[in-house]
Amino acid sequence: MVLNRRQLYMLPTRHGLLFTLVLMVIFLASVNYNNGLAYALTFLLLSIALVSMLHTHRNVSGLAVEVLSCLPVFAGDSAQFRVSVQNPLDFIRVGICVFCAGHRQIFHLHPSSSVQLEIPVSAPHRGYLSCPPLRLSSAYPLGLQYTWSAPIKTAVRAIVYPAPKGDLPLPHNNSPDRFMPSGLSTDGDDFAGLREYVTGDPPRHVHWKAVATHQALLTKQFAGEGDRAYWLRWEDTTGSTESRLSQLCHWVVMAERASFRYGMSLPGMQLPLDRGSRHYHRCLKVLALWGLEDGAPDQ
Amino acid sequence: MSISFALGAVRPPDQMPDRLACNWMLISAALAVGFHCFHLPVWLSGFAACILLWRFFIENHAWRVPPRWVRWFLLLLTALLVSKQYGTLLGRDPGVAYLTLLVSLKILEIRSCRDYLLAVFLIYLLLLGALLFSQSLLTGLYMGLLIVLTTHTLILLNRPQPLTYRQSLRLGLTLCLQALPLLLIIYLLFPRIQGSLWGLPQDAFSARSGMSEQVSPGSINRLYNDDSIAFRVTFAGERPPQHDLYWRAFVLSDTDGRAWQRHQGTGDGRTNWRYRAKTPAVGYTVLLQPHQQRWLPALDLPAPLQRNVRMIEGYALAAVTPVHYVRRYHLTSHLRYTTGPLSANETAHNIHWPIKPSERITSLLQEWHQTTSSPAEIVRQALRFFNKQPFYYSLTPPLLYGDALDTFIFDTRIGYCEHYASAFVALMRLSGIPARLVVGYQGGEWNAAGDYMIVRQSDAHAWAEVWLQGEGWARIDPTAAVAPERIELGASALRQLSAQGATIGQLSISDAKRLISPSWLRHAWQHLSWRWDAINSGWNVWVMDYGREAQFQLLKKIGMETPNWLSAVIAMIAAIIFSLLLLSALWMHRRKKQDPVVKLYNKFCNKLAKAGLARAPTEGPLDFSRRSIQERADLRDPVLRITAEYIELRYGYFSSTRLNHFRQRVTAFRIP
Repeated sequence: MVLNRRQLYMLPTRHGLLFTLVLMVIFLASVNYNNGLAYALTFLLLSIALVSMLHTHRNVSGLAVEVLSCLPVFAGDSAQFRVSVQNPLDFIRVGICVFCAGHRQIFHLHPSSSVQLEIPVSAPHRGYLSCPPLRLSSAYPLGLQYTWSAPIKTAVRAIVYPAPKGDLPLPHNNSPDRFMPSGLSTDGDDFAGLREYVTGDPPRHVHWKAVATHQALLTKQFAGEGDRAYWLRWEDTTGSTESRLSQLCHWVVMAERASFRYGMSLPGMQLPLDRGSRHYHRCLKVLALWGLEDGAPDQ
Repeated sequence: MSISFALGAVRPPDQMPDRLACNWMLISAALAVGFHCFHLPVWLSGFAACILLWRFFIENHAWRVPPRWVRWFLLLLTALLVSKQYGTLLGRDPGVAYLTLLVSLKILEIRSCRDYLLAVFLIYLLLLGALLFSQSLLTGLYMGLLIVLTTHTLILLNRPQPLTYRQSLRLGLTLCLQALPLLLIIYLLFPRIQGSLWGLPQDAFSARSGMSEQVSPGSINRLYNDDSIAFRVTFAGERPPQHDLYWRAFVLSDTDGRAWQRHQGTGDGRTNWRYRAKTPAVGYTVLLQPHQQRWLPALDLPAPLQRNVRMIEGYALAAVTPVHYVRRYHLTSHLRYTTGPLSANETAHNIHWPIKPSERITSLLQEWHQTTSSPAEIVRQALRFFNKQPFYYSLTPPLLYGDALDTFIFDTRIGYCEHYASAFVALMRLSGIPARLVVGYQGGEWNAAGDYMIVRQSDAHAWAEVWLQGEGWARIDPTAAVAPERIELGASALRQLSAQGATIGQLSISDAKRLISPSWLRHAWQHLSWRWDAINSGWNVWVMDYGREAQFQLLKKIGMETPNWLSAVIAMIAAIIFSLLLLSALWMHRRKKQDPVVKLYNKFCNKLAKAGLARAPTEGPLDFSRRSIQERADLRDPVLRITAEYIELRYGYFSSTRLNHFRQRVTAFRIP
């Protein structure tokens, strides 16, 4: 969204009000003393204030603001919305202040450049979190008045996973897939070979020697007892929907961290056994949007 | 959430200013206080300088800010000293003194951004104080400089980073320059209010004044070395000759034999100051410097034209209120005239002489009366007497004791215009001819650079008027009989002559002229000073005398038929909006000229786009060339070469020959 005249408003700051007061005093003195030069002083200060309004407006006008994306977060953390502000024109922008949901941040923009800002927004509940409206404002150059933009709204939403909470250990249920002799995992005792690195593999299992010889990232695989798989099931949790979801979320995090394979079963829905970053986020997303009206996952 | 809270939430936060901002603020403050050190008590200027230095060391050398009680103690102590010095809290001078204190102590205790702002605003008030002392062109320039500096300081206070002080100074200057057209519009069109809103303090106007309306020996002499300008005159038509330039200020007819003053009686009820003109009117405009009195100089004899100008006794003009500000008025005068008969009352107080004449004077007068009885002839006798007897003109005459008239006429015989005029009037009155003293200015300096006349305080002059049957009041200047140079060449010539040791009254006019003809250096200097005075005169007209009347004249000139308050305001607002829009159109949305390299590259891209190969906005030149070659292998060579040259010119080594080469290549690029 490019900021222009229609989205920018202006008001005096407290300093501007004080300035107006001083201007009134000087004006009254010039009238009373009938002093031509004092009139000139009054009007010069007034003109400078008027012209500085143009400067203030120009400082913000023409900036292109775009909310890029936001990584998913757990409820209770703060979501970092990435915002790009681009200065397409060839003059410097000084002291631009971005306001968003109580947070503010000041930045400067060199001619024809752009910045990326991370705007923290607290995410108290699971589900979708829309980026709150952003406003840009600036009191540059004199600080006598400030301009601010109309709220910049965006369709970018963050997914907030349930807070991982719960005291239950990973359920040792009798899953038919509990032991997977044929499968290999990164857990266990005996080295069983290498496979290509998948995001989320624990760093201690990366075959660093191979990295050092300029090969691709490889992950060491081990076979043994540790190659476990878990079914994380709704029925194994207790309490309210939210606490159940939190428990499931906690299990997912635990299982993923330990590089176990896990599947998830919720009423009317089942996610097969797997591991890795994609699977992990898929599970968490399902938990995040479980039972929410607008929770239909996009794509 | 209330609206005000919502608005406050998006106000950018105050910044804590850095050392750079503080130092520039100190420079502005020093400049503001510096103007006043000419009239502030020395200890106060010194105190302010010390405090500013103190702050400088706090800011730059990590000195400690003094504790609160020290600051309070300093404030109380100095305030006490100031009130003791001036004896009052009110008025311009003590006001400026207190402001100086406030500015320096505020700067000493600065903690927050708001403190800085307050200090800048106090500097504005101090500047206002300076304008109450002087409104000259130089003060105007000083004001401009200080405003640029304070604007620069405000910028630094508001956002110190990432601007360097150079950028900030340039921005401050830009702001001020861009404000100038607006200033001009508002200054000229903002309705001026006539008169004061409340009473002015006693010391509102500087004490400087010209002649007082009372003449005692020495009172005009005092002005001889005063080169300041009394008034300037622009003539509508041709300039009258130098010896006709008698600027009448006031007429004195009451005397105690020594001092002269205006007629104190109720007058004779004459309200109709008519005379018969013998020559056509001379039109002119006087730009009078403030002298805190009512008299308005005019050529003999004026016809009153303006409002707020009265004609008083002796065809002199007087303003309704004392002249506190530069004042401009238009007049017409007739240089030759006949006034009517004299009433008995007028005759009586114009032949009154309070002291019994001495033996020598009585016998002198008897001698004259024996030869003739016609008053006109007696006047001629008297002038011949001054001319033939060894009378000398001097600016430093001996003091007169006892019977001043007798001593002057028979013993010392040295004096200047005032002595000759008053002695002449005395002799006439003792001979029974109505006579009176006229005080004003004679001559003036023609400013060739601005085509106007400069009349200085040193041109002050006194002459006599006698009433003759058939002629009415006639001007007689006995000084001309003694020292014709005074009238022909002016007062400054007289001073130069006496500085060169010439005896005034003995030289012929041409000899005197030769003696004082300026060297080329002096000549050049004179031209420069004339030009400077012409600028100052314009400044006076547009700054000091620009009031409602001048404003309405201006509005008439720009086509407003019946100017009034409301139309001026409407015109002003329209002009402000128009110029702001113009400024934003010309400057805000101005783009820098595009880099010729980029321009040529864009031309190349456009050619490819026509062939269906549009460059995506995010696509770099290398990516674009790769994609182009993939799609059009036949263009491989030119595309690769142009891209390589473009990258080299834009990001590598630039030279104009390379640019020309690049241009040729882009122009030659064709897509089959």
